Amino acid sequence: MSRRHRLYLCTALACSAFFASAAAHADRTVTDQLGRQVTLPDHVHRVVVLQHQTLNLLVQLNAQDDIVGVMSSWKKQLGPQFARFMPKITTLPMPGDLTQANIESLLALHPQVVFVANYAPTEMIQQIQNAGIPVVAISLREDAAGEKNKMNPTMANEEQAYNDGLKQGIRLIGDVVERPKEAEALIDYTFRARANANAAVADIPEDKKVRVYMANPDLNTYGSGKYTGLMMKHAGALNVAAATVKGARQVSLEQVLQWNPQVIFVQDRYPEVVKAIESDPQWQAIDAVKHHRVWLMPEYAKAWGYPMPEAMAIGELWMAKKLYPERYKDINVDAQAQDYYQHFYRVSWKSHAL
Amino acid sequence: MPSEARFRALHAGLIALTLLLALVSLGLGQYHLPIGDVVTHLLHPYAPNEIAGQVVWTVRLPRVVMAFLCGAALGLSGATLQGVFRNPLVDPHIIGVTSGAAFGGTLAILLGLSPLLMMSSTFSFGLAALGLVYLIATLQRRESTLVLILSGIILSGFFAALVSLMQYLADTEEVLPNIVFWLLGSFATANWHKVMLVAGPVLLAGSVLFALRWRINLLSLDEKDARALGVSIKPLRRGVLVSCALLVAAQVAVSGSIAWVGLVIPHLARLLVGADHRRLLPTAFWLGGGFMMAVDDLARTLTDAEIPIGIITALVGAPVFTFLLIYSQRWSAR
Repeated sequence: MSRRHRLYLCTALACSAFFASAAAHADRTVTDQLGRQVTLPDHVHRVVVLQHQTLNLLVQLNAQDDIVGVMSSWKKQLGPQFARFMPKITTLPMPGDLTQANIESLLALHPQVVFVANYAPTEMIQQIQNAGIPVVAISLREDAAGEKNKMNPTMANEEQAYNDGLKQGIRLIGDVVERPKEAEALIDYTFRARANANAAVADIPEDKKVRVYMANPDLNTYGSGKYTGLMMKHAGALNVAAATVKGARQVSLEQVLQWNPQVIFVQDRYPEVVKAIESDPQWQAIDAVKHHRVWLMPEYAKAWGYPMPEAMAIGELWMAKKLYPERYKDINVDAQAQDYYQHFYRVSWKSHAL
Repeated sequence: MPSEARFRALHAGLIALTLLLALVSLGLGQYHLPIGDVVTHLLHPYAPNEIAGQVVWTVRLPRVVMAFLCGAALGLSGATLQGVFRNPLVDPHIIGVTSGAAFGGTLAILLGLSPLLMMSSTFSFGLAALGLVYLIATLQRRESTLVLILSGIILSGFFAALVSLMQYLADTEEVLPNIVFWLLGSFATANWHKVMLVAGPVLLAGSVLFALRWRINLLSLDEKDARALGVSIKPLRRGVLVSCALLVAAQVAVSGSIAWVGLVIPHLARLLVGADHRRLLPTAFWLGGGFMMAVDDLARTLTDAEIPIGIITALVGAPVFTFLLIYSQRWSAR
């Protein structure tokens, strides 16, 4: 046996001893949102996150310093301005994305836990797990057993599934990164602010509600079954597409003309859509365009498939005030946004910040 | 055409080159490991608690082996099919198996089936596509190469439409990215289990084709000429096509559909050793495997994340094919 050879053997033994002892310390078990039991080390301070919602929540729980790797499409999913909340994100390694991971890049980062989306391929979760890294899947939905990784889950009560799911998700993430207090504070703040904001429009009867259309590029919109619909409901609006369309779909212009929405909302990430609609002669007959009510939403009003706490706490309020200004005369949305941003992002809110 | 001795030397050289490439591939990756360490780990049995050994034995080795087997399967089936259909533009898509298998896979992703069920669905839809090709041919009461090619094109188009339908039905935020990534092909989730699943069909179908290699020469003759030589064409052709379907379906089942390899590699092999299938098939086998290992090296090392294989095979394959066309034109004009 050469000296070099002996050195390798010693390193190997040392490594295995280290891993054995690490395994012995791992005595924390959590249940993730796919219902999997995950064993974690006592203290977690190296986290890789491959889901944008979780990335956003980790920053709001003040755990951004524990993140050692992020998903490669964070800029596309959260917008380039997200770097404002977490300046070091631009320099972090990107070992994978929502649906794939480079297992060697992951191993090279020595993470103690990897957060993935509930719809990450089973194979990917298994592969990371087999490499000895605990995987925590986040759905932000509380689904019945057997529906957890489905694309169109059967939800008995959509409202409750999303509310409880968000709470459960935030608590789980807080647990994993040892920020339970921050998690409770975020949940408290969000649901309290939401209840306050929603009260003013809760008594509007169905037929008096403003009819709203959500315009994504190329005539894509959201129908029923996504958080977007709930967001509109809480803001006292009626989603014109919800009656006939399920999930995210493309619709025809004739259909939109038929719906004749009173207001058109456009998400923060598609500013070009506002101009396109306002200048397109085909859209001019629509009520919302005629009365110049095509509105770009602020970044916190995330009308996504999944609810985010900032959308619930201030996004719904922004939308409600836009639709029913007389009911929110004394409320300053910008001040509330400022308060939320100071609390959870530790930066000040700037509209149209880039 | 090179002499027998020259072919043997070339063949041995190809095998040695492929093995060398495999070793180099084992030394490449995002996890930093000097090649010396890799060799040391290879010479020692797998120790599950050691991270470097784990990278070599459970991450890189199965991945390199799987890339080799899939590339070899595509090269071999491409070369065979080009011979059988007497058409240099043929690739494994032509018998409808690739599209059928792709549909089986996307359907399974849409339904959220487990990985094993997904692979079986992919594999069986691939074979079913070939069955349908023969059904259409039988209904026409003809079984000529033209009828088979046309039936294959019909089924390819049909299954491609079904794949698009699955993509349209899929949730844009959750399932669609999964389907798109899978359709572009990847070896990222390689493990020994998958290697076993693809090795079985490749060894079986590969040895059948290898045993039939001189008869495939007859298939590439005119049907009348072959009959005159006393070989019954149809059963032979059926056996060869089923073997090719096995190869392609197994490849798609473990790694998604990968284009271009099955078209370019046979041409490259033909430039090297000529059109005789006794030499062409082994050459295409080793070339395909080596090419795929090299492409996969790019896929896993160019960025921190994974790049889908299909993108790189097309980006590399298209210029190589253009070059081959120009080169062979000049060569034959001389």
